[in-house]
Amino acid sequence: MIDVSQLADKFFDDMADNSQKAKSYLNDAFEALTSDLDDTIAATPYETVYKEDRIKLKYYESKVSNKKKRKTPLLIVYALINRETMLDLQPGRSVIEKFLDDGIDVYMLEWGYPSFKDKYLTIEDHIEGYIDNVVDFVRNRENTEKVNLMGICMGGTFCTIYSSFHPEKVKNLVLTVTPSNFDTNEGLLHVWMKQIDVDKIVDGFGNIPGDIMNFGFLLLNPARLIIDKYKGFLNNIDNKVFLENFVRMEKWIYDSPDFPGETFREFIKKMYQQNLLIKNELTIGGKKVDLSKVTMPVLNIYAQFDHLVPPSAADKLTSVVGSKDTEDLCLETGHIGIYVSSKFQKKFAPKISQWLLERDKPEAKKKTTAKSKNSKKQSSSEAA
Amino acid sequence: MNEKNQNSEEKSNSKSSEMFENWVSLSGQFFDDINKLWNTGSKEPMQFRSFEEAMEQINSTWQLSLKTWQSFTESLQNPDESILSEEALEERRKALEKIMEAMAESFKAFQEKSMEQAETMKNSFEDMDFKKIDKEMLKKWQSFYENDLSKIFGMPQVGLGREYQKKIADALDKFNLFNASAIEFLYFFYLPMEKTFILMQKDMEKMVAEGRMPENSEEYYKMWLKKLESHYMSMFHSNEYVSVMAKTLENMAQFKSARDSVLEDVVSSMPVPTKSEIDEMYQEIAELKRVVKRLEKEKRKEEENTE
Repeated sequence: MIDVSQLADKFFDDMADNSQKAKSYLNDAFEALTSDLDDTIAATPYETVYKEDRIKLKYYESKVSNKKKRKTPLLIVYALINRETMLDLQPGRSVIEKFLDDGIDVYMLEWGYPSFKDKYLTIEDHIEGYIDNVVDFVRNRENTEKVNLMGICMGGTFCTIYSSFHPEKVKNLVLTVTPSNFDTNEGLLHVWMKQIDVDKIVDGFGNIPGDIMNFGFLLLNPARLIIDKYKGFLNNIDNKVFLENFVRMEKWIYDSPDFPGETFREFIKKMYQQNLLIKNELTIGGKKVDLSKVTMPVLNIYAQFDHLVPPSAADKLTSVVGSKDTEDLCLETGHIGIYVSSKFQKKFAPKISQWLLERDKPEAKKKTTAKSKNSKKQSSSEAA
Repeated sequence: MNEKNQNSEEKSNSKSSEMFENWVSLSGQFFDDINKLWNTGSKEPMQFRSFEEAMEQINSTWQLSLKTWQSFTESLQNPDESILSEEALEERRKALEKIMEAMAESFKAFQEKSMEQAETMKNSFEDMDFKKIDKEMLKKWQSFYENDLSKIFGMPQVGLGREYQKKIADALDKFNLFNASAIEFLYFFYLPMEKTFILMQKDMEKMVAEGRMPENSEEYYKMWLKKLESHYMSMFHSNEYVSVMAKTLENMAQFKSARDSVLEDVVSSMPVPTKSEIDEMYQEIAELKRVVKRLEKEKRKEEENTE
């Protein structure tokens, strides 16, 4: 049995001690909060080389010597949820930066902010429209037959579908935390999405508001994401570097574009509710998605503690695609940690870079008269 | 009074009497119909496929009755025809009594029905303990709203402003439904908190009894957070939670649709296009763009092939 009076003494001693600490903590916190915080995200310079409707294509040029430069450019397709800035969060914590250092020229598709007029865009419009146009643009600009394609989360699902439609344009396919098997009860999203009446939701909202989606993501783990995260923030509020990193993540998380309504309806029904992709029964815009046509090398990276795309949602794809050169890699981190945690900066991007290097044979030149990189560019420069 | 005049008076009396009786009968029929409609316990309850059909029937009886009344009052304006015999007056008195009786019965039935409804509501309220809000109470409230209160907003609207009133009533109904499910959802959200605090208290009692206590508040917090996370996770996987969450989301979307519909009526009176009109245009533009882009692509391919 514990001596309660002893416990009470300890409690009051702690209180006295903490109140002394609180005084200096509050001073430091005030100083840190009112100082000039560097919370810039997506600081790597880029050029906007293509624009279509709301989307734009960012071009990051590697400055390494020609000897070290890779032959095939990499096109990154992000999800329609949140923004691609996560891949370039800050110097030292940037997937883009690592690729550039390794001599990879990077193109990154920015989906922009869907407005009411984008409500009627379907998955087909995104894949056979925007992605295909961007791929063709890069092929022409780089004067190459094929590009390397890298998909992030839902962007990976889009890239898989695209690769089955146009295997002749994709040299290597890199999928990261990409859902392909939706019939799992491991991830809460998979459980929840099966029961929602998506028609009522899309008919009511049109585009799905980013705020509602963010609220849904917070609900996936309220103890950690609503309570513990901000307790950690308060504990470290006097630490300027911590504060800057924290605000960067907050900026990224809450910069949430709306989700185009019809695409949402189609994605939830065909993927989460019917799981058609992995069953090889999916049709997009009347065209069958045949996974046996995904014949290029495939690298599939997912995260063990991913609460959005659990391993069981990501690890089946390589066994059903047509390619003989496939690799699965499960990293011991979460859905976002894979891109931004300091620990995985040394594992994630270097692995992709190395894997691509091993498959970076020169590609045949494209037989077109299209404008190449050295000829006139299609849109204005927008270097950051 | 000569024979001719007497004949004329009899003829006139007979005509107005016939008209009056006709009107009395129709009016009686009107109130009787209403009585039957309200009073489902009546010997001959009216059988209609819908409330609209019932209203149509009642309305046509009422219109006929009004026309007859009009003819009757016109005939009274003619002094020659307004002279009634005592016998005829007696007939009219009886007829009026009949009307009054039917009216009284109708109002009584209506009042009884209202009282019955009020009694049901009273019972439902008594069943609910507002001081102790729990899952059962919230379910009772939802079912009470859906089965009783919601019907009030669903009552058919009539007249010139029918369409607008209907939309407003619908928006109010959807707002209430959304609120009811949002409260239930928030209650669910609070449950793991309550459960965790109770469990923490028990664990701490046990630890005190065993003579071991966490060293500092951070350890208490970690213990609490771990339990809370685990309770949330098990709740989030439950069918009950998922269905409440899905219902809340659906009700929110349906309320938004209903509210937008009311706002569109307001906007339509101003010189600006409504959301539906713009939506329609966006849809057309999206389809046109799809066609144009496909044609552009085909043309580009053809050009590439010829080169």
